[in-house]
Amino acid sequence: MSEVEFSTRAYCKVILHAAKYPHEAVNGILVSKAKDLEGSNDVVFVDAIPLFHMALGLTPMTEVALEQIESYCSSNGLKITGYYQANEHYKNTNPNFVANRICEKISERFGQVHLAMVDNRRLSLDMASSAIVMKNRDKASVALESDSTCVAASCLLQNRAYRLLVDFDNHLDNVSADWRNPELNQEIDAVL
Amino acid sequence: MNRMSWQAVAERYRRWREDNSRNSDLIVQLWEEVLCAKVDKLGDEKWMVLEQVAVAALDLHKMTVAEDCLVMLSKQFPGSQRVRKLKALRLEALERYEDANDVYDAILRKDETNTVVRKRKIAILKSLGKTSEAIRELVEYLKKFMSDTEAWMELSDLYISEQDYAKAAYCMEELLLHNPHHHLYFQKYADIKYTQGGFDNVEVARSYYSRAVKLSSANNMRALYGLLLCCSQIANSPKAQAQKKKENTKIGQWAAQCISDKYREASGSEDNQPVEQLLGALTLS
Repeated sequence: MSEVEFSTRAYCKVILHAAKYPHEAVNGILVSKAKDLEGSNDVVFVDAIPLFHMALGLTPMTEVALEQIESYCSSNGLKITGYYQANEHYKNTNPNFVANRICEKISERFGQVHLAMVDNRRLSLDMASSAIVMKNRDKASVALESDSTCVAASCLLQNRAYRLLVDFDNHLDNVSADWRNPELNQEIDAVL
Repeated sequence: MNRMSWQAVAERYRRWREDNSRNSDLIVQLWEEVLCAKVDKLGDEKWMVLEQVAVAALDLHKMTVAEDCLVMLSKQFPGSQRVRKLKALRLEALERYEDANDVYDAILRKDETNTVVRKRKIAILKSLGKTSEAIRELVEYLKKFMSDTEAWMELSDLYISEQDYAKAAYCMEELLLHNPHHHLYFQKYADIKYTQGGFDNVEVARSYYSRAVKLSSANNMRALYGLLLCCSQIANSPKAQAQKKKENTKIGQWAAQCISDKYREASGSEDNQPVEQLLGALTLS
């Protein structure tokens, strides 16, 4: 059974994305450093790229986003290694057809991809443990970068840092909004 | 946030009421930090604001804030069906769906035409994960209230979540009939057709994206990208004859140029690399 690790940055962005749109399903991509992947089954997600909070089931903008993300990854020594989704329903952590289809598409192009679902019930202003569950065939266990990762996430939620988060939908509404989230990344680093 | 004057906050609230936008987090924050203390200065607007805050607070599960507002509203409007509906909404927030439904049914017995309450009952089905039933009820609702735009949109989204793209497209067609100049509807219809896939659907998608681009004066990014995607696919398809390939290549390049210009405008000249590569990948030989 392999292990999957979320860096603080990746973990916080997933949580903040879910928190920004509590009444919608949200999804996004997880990336790792390309050189770290050689010869190892374990995966470290160094960043998360929030995709959508509307019409997750429609494909055209997903295709556009994946092209841009792939381009960004190749220029920055990164690789797409995972997909995350937080469902609309509070208690539902099961991947739906959207999650399965997107993972399939990504796997075809980029190789094996991990599927992470957010457990909405475990989100709070005071989290003590990971709110993410892996749903791939081998159900890898989730590790967080450090003991302070959960504290950082809780702190960011309390400070409403999710208002800074830009997902691909936000970017399409206003192209000057940067889905790479440099401002938010700084906020996350500052909290640590 | 707490530097805003209460008048500025009240103005924002007004705009949100008009747009019917869901900004529950901001609404409650501004209420607690600014407006709550000044609510008596609002005159008649006070009651609409209290209702707005109550709904936002229930959305955030901030029950005490919601209950305080409900108490004030009940006192001012005893026996009001509108306040009763808010009390039922509170029951929904507490997941007491059967009790909420009882209240809604009682309201409907007094007034069959209360569309908001009918839609709340459908929302409850959605909360319970009963998507097929929600769809069934919404279809029945739309037979009676066929110009309810919000309901057609909701039905379209429900069909998309069930992968029934043909029916989702039909809902968008109804919306287009009611609103033949709304670029967002054209774009969403195109999104659905593109998702259905296949040469014919992509051609339809292309024409609807074109219309959306035209109606939005080329400001709808999704429509521009969609147009580029469709043109690429058609131009590269074995089913397209030379003339069609040529036409689509030209339009695709035009769309790519528009997109490129938008990025350049937004970010100065650097950082266009991802866009150039994306366009390169999407465009045509």
